[in-house]
Amino acid sequence: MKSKQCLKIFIFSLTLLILLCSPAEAEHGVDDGYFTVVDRDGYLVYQTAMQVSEGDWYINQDNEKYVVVEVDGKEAVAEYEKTIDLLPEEIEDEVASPFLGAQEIDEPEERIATYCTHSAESYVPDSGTHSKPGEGDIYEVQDVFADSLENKGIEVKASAARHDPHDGGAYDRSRRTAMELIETQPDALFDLHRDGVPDEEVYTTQIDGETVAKVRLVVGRENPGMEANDAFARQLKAAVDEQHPDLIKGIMFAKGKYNQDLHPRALLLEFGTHVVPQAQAETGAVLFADGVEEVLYGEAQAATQAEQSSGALRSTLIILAVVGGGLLAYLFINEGSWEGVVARIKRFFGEEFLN
Amino acid sequence: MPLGVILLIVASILIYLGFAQRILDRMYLTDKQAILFLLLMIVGSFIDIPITTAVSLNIGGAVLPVILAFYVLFRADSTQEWVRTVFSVLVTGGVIYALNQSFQGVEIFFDPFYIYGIIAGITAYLTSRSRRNAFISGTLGFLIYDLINVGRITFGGQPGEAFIGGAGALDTIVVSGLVAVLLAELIGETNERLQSGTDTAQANRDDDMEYADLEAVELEGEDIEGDDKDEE
Repeated sequence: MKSKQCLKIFIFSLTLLILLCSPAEAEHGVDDGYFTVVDRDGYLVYQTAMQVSEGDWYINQDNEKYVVVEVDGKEAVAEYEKTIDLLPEEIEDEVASPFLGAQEIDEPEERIATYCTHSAESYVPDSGTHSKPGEGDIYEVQDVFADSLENKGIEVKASAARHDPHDGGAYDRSRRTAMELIETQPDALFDLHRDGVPDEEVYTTQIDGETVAKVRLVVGRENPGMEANDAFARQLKAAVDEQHPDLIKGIMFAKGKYNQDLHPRALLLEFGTHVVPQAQAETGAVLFADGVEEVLYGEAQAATQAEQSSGALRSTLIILAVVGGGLLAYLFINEGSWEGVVARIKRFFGEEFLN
Repeated sequence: MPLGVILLIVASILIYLGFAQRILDRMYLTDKQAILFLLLMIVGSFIDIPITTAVSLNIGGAVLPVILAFYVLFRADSTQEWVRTVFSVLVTGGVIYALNQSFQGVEIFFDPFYIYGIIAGITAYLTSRSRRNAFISGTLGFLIYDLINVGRITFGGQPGEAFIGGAGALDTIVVSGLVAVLLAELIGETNERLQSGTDTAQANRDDDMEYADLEAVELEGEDIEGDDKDEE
């Protein structure tokens, strides 16, 4: 009876934790709730209006990887881990490997899909507000991005579907849009956003004498297949770094899936932040499109596919390991001993094959 | 498409369908019926029924799982079971709505995709210790949240569209139901282990009971055993 009471207390505690603690932990707004992540010496690593959690990591503009080790309110500390190579040489060497699938390069139909989960996201200098429900400026940035890709001969399916309100269910609603887009078999799927950091200098740079809003890539850490999406993000950063240095602000690896489990080349893109002029975000989108074309349809395509395939294989192994481990743990709880687990597995396969 | 990516997609689909099949066959469906139901859900994922210009219903992601949830609900043996399940559905829907409202205009620190199922699983376990209740609560609980959104679009002047169940077999309505059953089962199994020890667990294995006998004794008159998998 005592253990039963303990279990009940545990369940109630878990429920309370979810219901009461989550809003307090998650509360942050556009102007006053952004996170600042610094290193051990207090130097700024990055800022973002998205939630920062312990265990997140970040690849900055110089490809330095930082791992978040402490989060205290809106302040976080990240430790430098290493400088990474976005395009590992071994992948380029393995391009000819049939297992990596790059020997026979796809004949792409050149199709890209885009949508906007947070339909209200807008730019203050143009609209006077950061939020316009149902008609956010982000849709105009999407149109510019789509036009830029279409000018390169790429077919773009840009969804105008709206997913208001900007609440916890927005990604569940946009998931339906994402699935609809995936039915058109796109080569890549982008969810377009803008950040909420109230400092335009953080998100702007000079390219060819013009002020441009930087672009940040976000990869969801809770996506079981994230290795493939991660590989795609790195490919994109490498390509854009080559073409337009300083345009990519970095790659953020955050908690959540952001519907990236639906497509191995699904990514969340942040085009500037709400305090930059919309035109700067649009210029950033036009330049970013160059990198998209290069990675998906340019000379880098073979390496891209090899890297994608390698990432996907890693994901597959991780998923199988997690599922296998979970099943074993479940069976152990159920049976109480490893002998029981083995017997049950034998029984299961015996019955399954007999049936 | 590279082989690695194909393998990833195939493995993910097989694992998902495997889990889904094992869960659905506890919903008064035989193994074969569960497989057929999954196939219908997959085909139905591509079919939308327009309700208004702004609202549509997907066959695979909304109509079929909701029909199954109501079918399981109507097969409940007692009024008490009915009341508990309806109560659980309402609580789940309310908590999902409240939780999402609390994240108005802000980013969230977890992916709510799985949280809905966890809420439903916990609520169902607390109200009736039933996997079937968990499935109904997960599915209909999220549907309630969807319907509230439809109301806001239709009558509240909120801009937007509602594609209910639009992500088909991968929609939150379906996943919430499946996650809820998994959680309720995990709690049931853990509870059983804590209370009964190895011997009882071993004994229970033969008739594939997932819930503790002690619970059945305590909830005398409630059809806990009837909640278990139908004999095949």
